[in-house]
Amino acid sequence: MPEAFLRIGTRTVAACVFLLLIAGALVTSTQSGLAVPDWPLSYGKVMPPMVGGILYEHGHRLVAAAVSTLVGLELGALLFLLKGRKTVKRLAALAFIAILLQALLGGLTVLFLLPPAISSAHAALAEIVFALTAVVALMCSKGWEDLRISSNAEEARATLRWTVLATVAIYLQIVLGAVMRHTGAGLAIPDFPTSFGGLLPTFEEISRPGVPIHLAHRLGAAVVVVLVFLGAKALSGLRSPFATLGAAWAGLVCLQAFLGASSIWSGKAVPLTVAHLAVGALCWVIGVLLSVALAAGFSDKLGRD
Amino acid sequence: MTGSTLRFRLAPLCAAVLVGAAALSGCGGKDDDEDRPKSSRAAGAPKDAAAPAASAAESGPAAGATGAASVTGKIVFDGAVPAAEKYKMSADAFCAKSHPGDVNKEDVVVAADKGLANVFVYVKTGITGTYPAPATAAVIDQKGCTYHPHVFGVVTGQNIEILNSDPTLHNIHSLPEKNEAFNLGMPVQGMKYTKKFDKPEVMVRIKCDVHGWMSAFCGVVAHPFFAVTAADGTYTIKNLPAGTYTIEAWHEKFGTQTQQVTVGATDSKAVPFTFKAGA
Repeated sequence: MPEAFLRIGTRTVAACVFLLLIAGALVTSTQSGLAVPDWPLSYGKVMPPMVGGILYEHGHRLVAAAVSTLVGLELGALLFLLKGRKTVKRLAALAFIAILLQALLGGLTVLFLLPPAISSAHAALAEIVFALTAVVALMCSKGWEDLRISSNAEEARATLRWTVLATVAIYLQIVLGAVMRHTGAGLAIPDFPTSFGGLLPTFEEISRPGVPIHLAHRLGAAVVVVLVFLGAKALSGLRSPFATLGAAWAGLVCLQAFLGASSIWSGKAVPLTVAHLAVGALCWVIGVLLSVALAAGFSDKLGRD
Repeated sequence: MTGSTLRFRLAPLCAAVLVGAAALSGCGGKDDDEDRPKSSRAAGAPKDAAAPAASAAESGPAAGATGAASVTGKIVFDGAVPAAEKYKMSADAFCAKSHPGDVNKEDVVVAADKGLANVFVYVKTGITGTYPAPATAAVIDQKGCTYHPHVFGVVTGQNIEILNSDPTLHNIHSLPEKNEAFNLGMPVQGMKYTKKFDKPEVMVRIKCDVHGWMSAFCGVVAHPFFAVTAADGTYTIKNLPAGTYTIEAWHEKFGTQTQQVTVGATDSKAVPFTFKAGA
């Protein structure tokens, strides 16, 4: 019974963290980050009128408070209900610490008027919190402790290598995207797939504000797509659910690239930029889950060789 | 356990984190006295941005000179006037009630005779010496969920009185590049703050993050020789000493233009500008 409760509970927490990411994306996409100038209170109140940008900014704060509580409760439940399993408990504790730090970064970025460094760190840490809660949920899944994947050592190594590489690339790409977003460089190159009408920007165009980071994010996207496809190809040699998840991963990355392009074509329409952030987070977490599961499932082979 | 007997399933777990994706479909300073809000409501409308010349004269320039020359002109828009962008104020019931239906953006305001309003005109070069900040504060009011005035100028160090005349809350957020930024919450009708910019900067954007359509621009210059075009596109820069000056005209959408002018001690010279879309 506790196992079933923890299984459902940890998945719910991970899903709630994902919703919190979407709430955060809405804040930046609607440029509402400073609609509430004070923190931790909002206009000196716990509940200001939810008008205009306050709906997004204060809404994000409310969701964050609720989700932080859930992450804390998750840690408590794991500590009290789960016997042994130190790694899971440590990861849950790390998630709780990270989400508290995340709240602090959120407050600081408001008080310091959205400095790109703090805002980008806030975005980058959010993805870590999501990954931590998802991994906790993974480790509370049925059969986790007995997970073994049939494969030869060479195949195991190659699959894990490509999956981890693609996952790291996705995270770096997300951080690049966060810096681009928080430095206002989302439309620094206003056309796509061309750049100022050419294949690549000229040296003069690259020297313009925001263009280098924007260009890096575009080139990073190409690298990510290639790496995820290589990862998916390696995963296709395994049995389901890995092969299926690999294919879904590749599909999501394609969707993500399309959403990135659409964000430019639409002049950063809010639903598209929010969707771009959300799908990016899903790509990242699927990569993390696959990497962790593969590392666990291949542990005997990797350990032997 | 082998892959064939794998009980652990990744797919349901990923499905759990995908649950939130469904939600996408619905996504549509300083601590000194000057920062402290005052509850008393300042009376009167914002003063004309061209007026500080007189205030500066009252205070007496420390080293910079004033005179009796003036530069006047009319700024016109040439070409087909772009259709005004429209927006709704439905995000706030009070704002929507104040402006039912679509509202025109204030970035391009062209009179029937093509006079272009809200152009900040100032002496960019040619002024020497220092000028004290006028004793009279410039005023920007948040009224009917728009800023009044939309474009204004101040002398460096001049106080800016920020009012909230609305029975709804606003935040006023400056986005300077050279000056210190501020972001102040003004939740109470009649609330007043006083701020100032200490360095010349043309222009400082001001916005409300609660009501995304609200924006204003403040030109900060080191002397009192500036003006903002009226609804008919006319402007006057008064009390200039004799000299040769570069006059710059700034418009939020059409960019900047400059012209040189030489004025004698009591001259009044016309310096007209013509803006074109995309020029």
